[in-house]
Amino acid sequence: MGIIVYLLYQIFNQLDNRKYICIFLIFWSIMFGIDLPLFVAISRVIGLFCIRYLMVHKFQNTFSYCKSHWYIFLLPSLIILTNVFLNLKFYGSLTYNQSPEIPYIKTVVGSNTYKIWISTPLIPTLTAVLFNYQNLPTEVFSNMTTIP
Amino acid sequence: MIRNEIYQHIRHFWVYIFFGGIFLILFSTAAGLFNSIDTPQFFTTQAIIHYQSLDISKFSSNPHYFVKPDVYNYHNQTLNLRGYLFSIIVLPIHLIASIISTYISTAGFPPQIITPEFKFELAVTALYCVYPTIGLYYIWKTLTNIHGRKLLNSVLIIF
Repeated sequence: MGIIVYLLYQIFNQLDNRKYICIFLIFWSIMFGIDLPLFVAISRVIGLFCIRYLMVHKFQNTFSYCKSHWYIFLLPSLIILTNVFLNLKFYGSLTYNQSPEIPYIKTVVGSNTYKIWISTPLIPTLTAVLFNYQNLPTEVFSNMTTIP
Repeated sequence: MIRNEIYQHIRHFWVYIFFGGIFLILFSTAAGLFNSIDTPQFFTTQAIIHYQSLDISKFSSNPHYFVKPDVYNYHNQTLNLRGYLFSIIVLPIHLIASIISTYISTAGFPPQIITPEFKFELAVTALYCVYPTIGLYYIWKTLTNIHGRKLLNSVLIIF
């Protein structure tokens, strides 16, 4: 995260930021094999970066920039594809994450194992975490009896 | 010219000392393998080094095999749930740890937790601190680029 923060700062402050974009994309692709929530979070940053870039440079310029600097995307794509290949080989799925396959979770929630991603209700958990400085309301734990 | 360069190096030397100190503090607080966050990743790296595989079941006899619930059984293999790329990135750390582990003293640890592999496990978990230290350095570097107050940034990094 420290390196990502540094790279983002350099990308937004350098006129010729190809080197930093390249390193940033490599780190982003490595995250795919280390931490999926972090990968998704940084992907949103890339989305925001693209929107900002499109607003400043218009679509045609952005497209021609990507086309002329295609090599920037080569290594990150290779890292992600290798990851996907190894995931398919060893784990039998596109990502390494097999949390829903843990036997205990399967026993408790049955076939719909992706329910564990929402093991606490979004509201009031989110509002309590962001704005509540007292004890968490009991509704936050309402799913605890059915979902681990 | 040369004098200028030497001066610049000395001027920035305290930064290396500072982050070296942070690394040393983190390094000294390592306690070996004791939770499932590090352990599956540790054994995955060992499996890659010794068996060129991701299956960690071959290490199940290790007394510090604290891998549950972060493992998954698939095609008679026990696989790490936390992503194997971390285990690949720490390969150099395992190789360095195999060299330095002979020089590590375990005198301060209770004898009940000492196993034949304990020194190596301790060396590896201690060297994991290289990555957080690098991360902290880059946060410090970003803050320094933004407003330039190195001393204030160093205090922020400590906290």
